[in-house]
Amino acid sequence: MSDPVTQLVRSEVQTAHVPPGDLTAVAARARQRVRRRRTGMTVVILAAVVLGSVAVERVVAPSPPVIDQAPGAGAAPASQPGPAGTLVPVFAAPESGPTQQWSTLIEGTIADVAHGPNDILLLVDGFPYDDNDDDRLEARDPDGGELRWTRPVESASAGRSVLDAVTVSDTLVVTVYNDMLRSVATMGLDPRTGDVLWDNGTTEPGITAPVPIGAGLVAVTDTQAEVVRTYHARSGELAWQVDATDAGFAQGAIAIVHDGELRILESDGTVRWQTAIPPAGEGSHPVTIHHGLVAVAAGEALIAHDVGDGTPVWTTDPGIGPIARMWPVPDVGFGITNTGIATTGTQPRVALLRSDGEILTRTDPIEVFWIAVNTEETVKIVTFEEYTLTSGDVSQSLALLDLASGTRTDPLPPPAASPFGGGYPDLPAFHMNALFGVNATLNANGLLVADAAQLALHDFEALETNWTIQLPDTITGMQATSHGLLVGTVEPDIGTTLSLLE
Amino acid sequence: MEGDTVDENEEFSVFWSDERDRLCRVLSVAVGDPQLAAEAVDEAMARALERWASVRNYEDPAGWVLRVARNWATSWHRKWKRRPTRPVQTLDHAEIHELPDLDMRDTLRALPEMDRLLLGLRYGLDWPVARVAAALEMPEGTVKSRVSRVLQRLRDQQEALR
Repeated sequence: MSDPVTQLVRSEVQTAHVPPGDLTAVAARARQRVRRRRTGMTVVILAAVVLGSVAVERVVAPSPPVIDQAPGAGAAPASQPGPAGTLVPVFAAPESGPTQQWSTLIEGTIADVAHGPNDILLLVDGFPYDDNDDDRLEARDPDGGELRWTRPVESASAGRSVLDAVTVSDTLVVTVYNDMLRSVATMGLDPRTGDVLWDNGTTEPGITAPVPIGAGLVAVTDTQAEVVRTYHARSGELAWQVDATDAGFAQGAIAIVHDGELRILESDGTVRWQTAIPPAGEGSHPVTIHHGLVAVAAGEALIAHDVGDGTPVWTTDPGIGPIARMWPVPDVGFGITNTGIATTGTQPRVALLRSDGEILTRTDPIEVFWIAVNTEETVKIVTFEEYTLTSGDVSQSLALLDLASGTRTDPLPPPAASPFGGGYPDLPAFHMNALFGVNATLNANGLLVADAAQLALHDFEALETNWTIQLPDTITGMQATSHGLLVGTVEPDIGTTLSLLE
Repeated sequence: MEGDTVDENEEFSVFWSDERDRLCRVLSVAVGDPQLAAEAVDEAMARALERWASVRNYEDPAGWVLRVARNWATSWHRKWKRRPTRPVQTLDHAEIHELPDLDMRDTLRALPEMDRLLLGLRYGLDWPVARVAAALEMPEGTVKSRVSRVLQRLRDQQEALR
């Protein structure tokens, strides 16, 4: 076929960039679809039984007025975005309230905020895991909650908790805090038995959650050593490593920033392309791969290239000052903020950009302590507000700010009682709780707030309390993902119960 | 029964290896976004695996996956267009540098999505007209005439560029 037009078509198709595929991930997605379908059918049958143990009550709150985000709205000195990589809990609860799929009593306690991050509830590929304070990682059956296996994880002294985990090449790769955050280990477990397949020992803290990058590899970033390490998930052998002050990952492509250059690497570590980027001043170069683009921040500017061939696509100044953090927003584009690690007194600004570079919205300095994202095309921010009333009393409340629509709720009604004392806990405690997803988390529809044994969903769209459910015991931990909401409840002297709500 | 499942899994694995990347490529050319194309094909592959016992018996499983992936990608675009946006405040200095629109490649990329998909399947993957028609659920005559019309338009524009 010598026709140049058809040759061009053939060339376009044959040279089109293809992000590497992962058959294991496709199989996991198919399993999830089967499980969801099965659960959907089961729910109807189980509803009567479930309602016997979980009282569901729809609560219609007084309609809070929707107000436009007022520029320069009063800001109190408080801020705390959540940790990078934990921004996308997307448990899609039905409007009538979740139903309990299973519940099981476990030994020890989990999610005890008094001990800081010494707790974990994880759902990996639909399989629940919990890490209790007896220093054991426990794997549960997703359909019934039964213990599948339990694996002691060494404790240097005061506990050890799983930071995060992914399943790659039939291996559960976990990063594990040790010795109260003073070191981190990366290890591979057999997801069926819990057997340790490999353990790469401990390193200094600063390891990020493991990320699958294709070709059976998993990458972790050591932010202190400023290096990205990739491991063969099956064997734990180091595949390759590269110096990087900042890094972002996607299936089949790794973006790193080093020595004033942005480089896109293939899964095998070879450089696909590289380009110089402007200096970031005192700051870093947050970088994110999303929607076929790699976006890198340089000071106050954001620059996007085609991740396939490096073609510059757009640059923009989002107008929030030096960009300190960036995260992908599913279905939308990029979220950015000028605050890295939040400290009291900072007043972060947040902006949302579409993948074509259009800035959808940005905030004035706000009292953010937790930035949240859902997959339904919107970005929500939970703000903490503190008012001093004319009486001298201090009123604390939560409000939701929808970046996409610019709407903001009136403060949510304060809880009557929480596991942490009356009303909302003091700010530092709440920060810690929010950081570890303990008493408030987000799903696709709204903000889930645990208040003693009561769980409530505050709806984002209707801006009202959508439902509340009463669980048997005090809620001490929640983990929301696309598979469901894993809830830990504790009754003193009896034990901790782990439940999956869908 | 278990043996059947093992065989089906192996069969799907072969199917995935054979078809996944080429479907990603042609859909990437059609939708203009490699990442979106890959996500769409992976989603369609998961759906195919979910009901592989049926899909494997279809006349053209790859055509079915392509159709599901395209519908998924199209739905994503539609959802995006419907998305209401209301900026918090008027922006005064957002700058988006447009890239120049230059040659035939850009002309090809400017074609409607369906035209790019037709050309991609017909000449990128060398699918016969009948297979393209079945996959896209359109009459063979429509495929022929539309491909011919698009090709002629591209050739005319190529002449004009000279």
